[in-house]
Amino acid sequence: MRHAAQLGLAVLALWPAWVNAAASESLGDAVKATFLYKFADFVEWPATSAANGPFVLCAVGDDGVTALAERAAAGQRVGARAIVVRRLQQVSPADGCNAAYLAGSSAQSADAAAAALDGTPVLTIADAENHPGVPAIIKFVLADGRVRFDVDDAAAAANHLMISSRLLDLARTVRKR
Amino acid sequence: MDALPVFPRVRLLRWWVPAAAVLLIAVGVLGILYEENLYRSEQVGEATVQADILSSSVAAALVFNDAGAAQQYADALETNPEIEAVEVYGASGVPVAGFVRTGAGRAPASAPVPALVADASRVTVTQRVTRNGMAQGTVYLRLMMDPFGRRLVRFGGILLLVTMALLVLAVSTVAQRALRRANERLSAQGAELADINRRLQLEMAERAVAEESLRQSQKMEAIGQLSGGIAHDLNNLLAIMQGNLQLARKRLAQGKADIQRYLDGALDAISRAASVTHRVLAFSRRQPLSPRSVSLNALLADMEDLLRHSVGERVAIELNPDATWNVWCDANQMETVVINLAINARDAMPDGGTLTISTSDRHVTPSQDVAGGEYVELRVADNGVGMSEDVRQRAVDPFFTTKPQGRGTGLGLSMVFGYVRQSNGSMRIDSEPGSGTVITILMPRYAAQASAVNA
Repeated sequence: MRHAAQLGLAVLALWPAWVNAAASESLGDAVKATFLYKFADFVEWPATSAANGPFVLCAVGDDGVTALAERAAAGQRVGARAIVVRRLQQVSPADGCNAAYLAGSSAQSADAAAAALDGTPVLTIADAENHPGVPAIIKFVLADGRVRFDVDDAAAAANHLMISSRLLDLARTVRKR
Repeated sequence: MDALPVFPRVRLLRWWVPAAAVLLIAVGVLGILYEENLYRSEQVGEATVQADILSSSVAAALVFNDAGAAQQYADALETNPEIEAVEVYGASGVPVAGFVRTGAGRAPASAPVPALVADASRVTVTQRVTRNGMAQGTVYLRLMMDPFGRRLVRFGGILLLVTMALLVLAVSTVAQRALRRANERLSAQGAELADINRRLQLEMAERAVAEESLRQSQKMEAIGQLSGGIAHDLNNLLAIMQGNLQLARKRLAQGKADIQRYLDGALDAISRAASVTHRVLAFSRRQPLSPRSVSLNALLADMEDLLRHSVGERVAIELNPDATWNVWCDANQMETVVINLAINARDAMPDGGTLTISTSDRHVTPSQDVAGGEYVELRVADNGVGMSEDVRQRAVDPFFTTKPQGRGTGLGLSMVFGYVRQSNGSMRIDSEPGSGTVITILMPRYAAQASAVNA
């Protein structure tokens, strides 16, 4: 019941973003927060990466998105796996993240976090509005007042990830592997 | 001749032609229905597949609220001219992307319930879009069926086949009917022919009877011609009997009993007279025509008495039987020939003379009168008055005669000539006025004897 209410909230949060092109900052953050776990559906992790247990989504640092991430993913699943959102100030491969949103913190900048996870099977996501040039795999951008994203497929390859062509189709730009 | 049989197949035609036509049409209709059904299920399948592809491709776009991408996927289907409307609805049921061709009905304003509807002119598919087990939206797709005219063209092959088959059936029916009519006409003609044949056979039988009696009457005519000579002979014999009997009575009256030699003389005359009458009767007997192997020499020897009596005392008969081969002929008829020729010779020699009858074997080279080969020649010669060229040429014409009224019929030589030709022989007349007449008859050699001799 609680999950259903949270889902309804998330949909409500998402709804205006669809109809109103001029999304406000907070609405944009809500959309980004829901996108975080939705990406997982279109990404394949290497077989060695732990396929059992919950899907670990790390929210590293603090911004509008990390604040909403836990609420947005509540009750959602990636395939058959439940989603666990872990709030961190800094991240390392040892944290066992499957995906990580890198907002940057005083302890670790977004760029540093991305560099730390480089070469490990972690889907790195960052907001290019706040951190242009961050070496994450997926970077949120605003285009025509809507939340879009760029995909660095080469970086995904470096992290041993396969990104679905359906997701690549939706990307604003794709850096080929 | 029997009437031609009418085949039972022709009778069968009457019911199987319409049955086959009905069957053909039924098969054609079934074929068209099957094609139509196949086409419809294909269209339904295509609509479902297109909707599947669309829903699978727009899923990500719906997940990430990308209306532009959703529109691109919808637009991709516009290249298929059979798809007249596509609509993509979001999770909330609001239209997100899609297109409608000009003139086609609009898509529903909000997401309809998933369904598959196929009517005569279009297939409509509505499907839920799910991703990760979650409903992401709905796709709606409407596919046009080909117009009826186009479908009819597709069925053209079947229609053409059925039409051709019906045409063939019709043509063969007409042909069969014509054949049946021809058959009936033919059997009618056959019956007519059989009737004519029957009449012909009847006439032939009548003719055979007539010919038979003609032959007989010719024989009797020959006897009539001979009767003068025969009567004279019989008269002589009667005179001999009378003389002997008178002498016998005279001797008895004189009281002498040596009448034995007179009675012997009378008896001898009686037996000779009996012999003459016997031969005339034998000759005049009615006998059927039966050809067999005949020796002309033997025939002439048998006839010698009769000939001598016939031609009378003033004509001497000389026989030269030199032939060794037999001929194939009717002996009775041959006798009539010889008698006729003998009568003619006798009549040609009113003051007496010699009648020479010869036979001989002849190898004949082909000529216009006769085919080449082996023949037996019968030669009848007299040293009588002879005949002029004009008479000679007309001698064998029927009813031509130089004899006085009541003596000849003009049929004798005509009959002889007819008979000889009928036996594949030939006849020649050589004569000059004052130097007699020679009649030469060639009769084919009897083949069986010829081969027996050659072997």
